[in-house]
Amino acid sequence: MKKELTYDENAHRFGRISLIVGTIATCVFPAILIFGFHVPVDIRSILSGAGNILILMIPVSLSEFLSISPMIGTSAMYIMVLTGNFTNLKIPSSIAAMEAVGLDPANYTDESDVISTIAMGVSTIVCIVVIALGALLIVPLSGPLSNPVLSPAFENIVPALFGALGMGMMSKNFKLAIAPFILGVVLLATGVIPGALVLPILILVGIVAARVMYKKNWVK
Amino acid sequence: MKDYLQVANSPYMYIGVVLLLGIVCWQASVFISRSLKRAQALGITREKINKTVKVAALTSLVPSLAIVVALLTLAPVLGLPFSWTRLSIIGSLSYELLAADIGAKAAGVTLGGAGYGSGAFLASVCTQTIGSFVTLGLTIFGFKWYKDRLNRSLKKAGDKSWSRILIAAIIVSMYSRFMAEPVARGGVALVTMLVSATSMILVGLLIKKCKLKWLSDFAISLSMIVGMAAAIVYSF
Repeated sequence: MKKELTYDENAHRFGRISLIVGTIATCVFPAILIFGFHVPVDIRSILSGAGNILILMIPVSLSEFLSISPMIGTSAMYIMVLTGNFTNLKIPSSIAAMEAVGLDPANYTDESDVISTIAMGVSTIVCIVVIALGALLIVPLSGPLSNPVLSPAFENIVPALFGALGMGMMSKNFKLAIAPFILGVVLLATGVIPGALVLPILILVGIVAARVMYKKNWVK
Repeated sequence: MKDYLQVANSPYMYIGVVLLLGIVCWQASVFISRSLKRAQALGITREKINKTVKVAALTSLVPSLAIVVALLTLAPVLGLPFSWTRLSIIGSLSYELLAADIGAKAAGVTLGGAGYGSGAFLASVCTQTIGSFVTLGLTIFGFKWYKDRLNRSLKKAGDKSWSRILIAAIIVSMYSRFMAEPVARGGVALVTMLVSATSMILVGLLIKKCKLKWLSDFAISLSMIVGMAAAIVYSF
């Protein structure tokens, strides 16, 4: 008899299928250019560009994948990977939704899996609708939105987001935040390592510090 | 108009927009509908679901506007349909600009500069597309294995409180990355973050003291807007 798949196994199955479909579909733009417009293909420049971006992206994506995926539920992870904007949009909105309904984002349960999936899906659809409106209204919007007076506001959207979201989470987990926060300030102020690698390094240090504090019974 | 932009903005390129946005919406709606069924089975109330939808939508609104601003930067160089799609799926402005530039350099020109024609545009498009395969591939082939191993090792340790601390440590480390940057940079970024945080505290007090429960759904968006307004005032 065929074994019935669990909810989680089903999520992996559909998630993988949708990502494979999405990955193949991303090739539609090069395909249109090559087969629709007969743009000449310079294999050397394409391979050189691909090689350079892969050298850069493999360590960044691998460390991001290893460090971020443990805190995300199965279905939410597949949505997030296909739609991007992990840290500036999807994860914050999912955590905010969990906190709003009284769940602890650090204590992953079946209920938080459901809530974070719905939040991630809604966040994705809202983002798609807003960008679509922006694209359709690009001519009238390009005036006011690119007004230099407004540019400091849009350039600082991430500090505004984490200022609003971060205080509660950081004060609730003050001891856990000390090591990664101080190291983050030092690394970003000195610029000794590329910005893209700061996040995985902080997560690694944060986990090690948490383990030490846990073993010493400083955090419970 | 440069000739590659005629190609980049041609109606045929919108086939890609419709296809990819359709796939993203299909995936999100299937996962949402499965979660709603599971919510019913778990006895999660309708009120909680509605609140989740409301908070997730409101929290996503302001950061999505920033992506529209990014679109205004990217579209003049890479055309509207491709920029629109890339920013709606997988990519971010910094990644797309970087990858497009790497592709252009591989073709021997600079992004959007003199000599940047259809061939260089194709090199940019391919580089941007191939670069995003890494995360997609890791998730397709490695996520289930990694998640199973992680869950098994946490279960084996039989330590519920460590698994809670582990996830809390990952979340605060991620927050530290983005809260440490304004502190390191100082100036307008720091002012924005501090005003936004103060505004969040004040809104929280207002909700508690004046019993304005409805305001809690808007707390994050409102605080962000106040923080962003402070950025404008500070830079004036």
